[in-house]
Amino acid sequence: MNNRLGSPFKTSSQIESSGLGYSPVILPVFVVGLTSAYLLIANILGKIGLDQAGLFGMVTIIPVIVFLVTAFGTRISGSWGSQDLALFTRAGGNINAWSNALAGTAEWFSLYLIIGIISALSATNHDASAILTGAFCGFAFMAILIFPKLPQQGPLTLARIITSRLHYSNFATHLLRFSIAIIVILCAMAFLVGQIKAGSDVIVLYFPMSRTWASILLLAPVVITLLSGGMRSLTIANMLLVWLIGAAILLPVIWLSFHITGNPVPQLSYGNGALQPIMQLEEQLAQISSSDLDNEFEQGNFGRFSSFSSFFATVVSMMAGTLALPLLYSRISCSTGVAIRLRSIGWMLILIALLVSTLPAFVVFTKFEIYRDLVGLPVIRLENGMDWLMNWANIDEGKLALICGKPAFDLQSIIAACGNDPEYVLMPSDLQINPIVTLLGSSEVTEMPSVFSAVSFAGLLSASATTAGIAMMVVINSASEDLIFSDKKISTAKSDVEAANLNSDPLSTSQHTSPATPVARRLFVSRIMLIVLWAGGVWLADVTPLPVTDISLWAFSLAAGTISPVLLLAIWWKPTTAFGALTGILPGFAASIYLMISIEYGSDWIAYNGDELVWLIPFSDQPLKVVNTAILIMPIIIVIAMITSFGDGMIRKSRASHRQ
Amino acid sequence: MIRWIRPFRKSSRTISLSICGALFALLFCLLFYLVWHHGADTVMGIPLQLMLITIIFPLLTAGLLFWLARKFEELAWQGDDE
Repeated sequence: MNNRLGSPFKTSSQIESSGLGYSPVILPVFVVGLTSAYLLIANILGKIGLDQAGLFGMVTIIPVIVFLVTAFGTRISGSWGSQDLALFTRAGGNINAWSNALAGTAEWFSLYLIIGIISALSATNHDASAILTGAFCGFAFMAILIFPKLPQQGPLTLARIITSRLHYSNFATHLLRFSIAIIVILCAMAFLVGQIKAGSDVIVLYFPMSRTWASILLLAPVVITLLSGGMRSLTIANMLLVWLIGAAILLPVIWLSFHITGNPVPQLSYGNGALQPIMQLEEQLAQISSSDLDNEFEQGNFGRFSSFSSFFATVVSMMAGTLALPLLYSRISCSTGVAIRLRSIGWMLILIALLVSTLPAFVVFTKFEIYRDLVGLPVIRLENGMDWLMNWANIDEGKLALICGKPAFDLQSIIAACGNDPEYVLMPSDLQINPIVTLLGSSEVTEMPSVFSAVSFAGLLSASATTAGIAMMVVINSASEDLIFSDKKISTAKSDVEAANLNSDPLSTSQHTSPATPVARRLFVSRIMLIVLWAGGVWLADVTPLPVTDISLWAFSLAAGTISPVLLLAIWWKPTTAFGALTGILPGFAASIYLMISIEYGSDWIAYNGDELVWLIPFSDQPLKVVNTAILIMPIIIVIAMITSFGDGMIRKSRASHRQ
Repeated sequence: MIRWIRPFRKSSRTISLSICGALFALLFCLLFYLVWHHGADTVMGIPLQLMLITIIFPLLTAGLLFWLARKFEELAWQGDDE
């Protein structure tokens, strides 16, 4: 394979250039081989009597071991407590494209994204399509429009990228940097809290513990890894865990595909093998029933959009959100040079496409199995073989499995919910099965080996932990670079005396010349922040009222409505000034927060009670949603920032001419 | 020699970036057209929309980025601060 593409198949002489000190091929092959052997043993133990909790515990220990071994491994190679700031904040900055893409895929493919896509695909479909199109376009625009204009190395916080390209102004530059840093931290915190909530929701399904303890335990291995080696440890751990995340999605769906259609390639087999039979069944049932089928998937409209404007608005908003996603900039700062960064994104797109293209197949195959068991049958027939349905309904207060709008605790409650008629024929619209059941209950719904569900469980938790890890690093880097140490020179000196004597410093963050901050002090502060973030994230996940799938959309919308237009202007419109950018970003922030809260919750923070704001997407009759608020805000920010930048520039010029 | 070649290299960078941007914009418009007008058509029973969005579009975009990376490498463009 051509090594120009940052190929994973490197020769031994190229191992050093992987940037991690490990071969990007041998290490994953070793870990994947070891994990496969371990899973084989777990499967055998499961068959000879190990119960489900034991099996799940045995498999879940895999990501924990990966995190801890990585923490210990990086300690051996000198990162633990070392004074190397570049290793801690951006893994040394010389990670190759393939390794960076592996780690980046693990971080992007987060648990609530998987749940969100699956629930969207199960319901209206075009939301998932628009979100995915927007995300892919965002990747491409970031690579084409932003990467060629970035410095080839060094920490890449969004505040630093934007302010470094604008005319320096003492007050406005500082306030702009502060504002961007706060928005970046809010976005990263939203990702962190979303991951913690999603991960703890999954853990409590299988292990008897409170959500708070589940959150603490979910983050523990990540925090230990970050305390040990920062970004370098996280990169290695994520690079290894992406294989487990991939296995969590691919193994069950390949098994289902082979089991149902005889073809092991799910991306090609689910159409004729499962989707078309589902649609035919729904058409037949629609003819014999007068009940309304309440979603497009069930009406056979899979693949049609009701409104182009809504689709377009979601695509553009998601694209802008991805363009300014701080998590991606943190990952990209681990590589040096525009070519390697472009290849990182290229490999990420390929890996994400492999996983994302499997999700529709997952949804369709599981739906096929559920329909085969339930739909078109009288309720009384659920007496036999439906233990899985009742088991899931009895978890989490019956929220996961509802039939006829009520929890399916047992046969009597199902009959009572369906009008006390034992001969009532179940329709697709009578079933409300949570996506978590789709992901984790496949082995109960079908004859799939339980170890596959255990792998899904461990993989989903890994997806949650890897994204939580990068979100924590974003908060730490942004707080350190742009808030706490923003006015001070940072050096590799180990003492104040040495630092004060250093003049040339490649990591200097500002135009100021105040004494350098010793790296040891800065790393100490970073590690303290990690502990605080651990506690704060768990607390916020406990108290936040937002559903898991909404939290990431809030983060994307906030980034799109505030940072994205200013980033584009700072890079591509030279007259932009710090004051102009500031006058765009502050109203953008206020408008984004106001619109998102008012559209979703109204003025009293209670959803769907009648006082929610209903605004329309410009030039259409479709209502604005949280995911596409940016379509309204972005043009206004751009116009304000351009006008004020122009005015600010004129004033500066006139002042300069007066001085002369 | 270097002084003579520098402006040429700089314009090549702009041309590469513009070609890539134009190709991506074309790809994006084509995707929108196909999704909107033929999204519900099926290939092997799979809606064309899903195939386009989850497989074809990201793979073509990745190919475009690899090509751009190679061009930048040939032009020795490491970043805007070189």
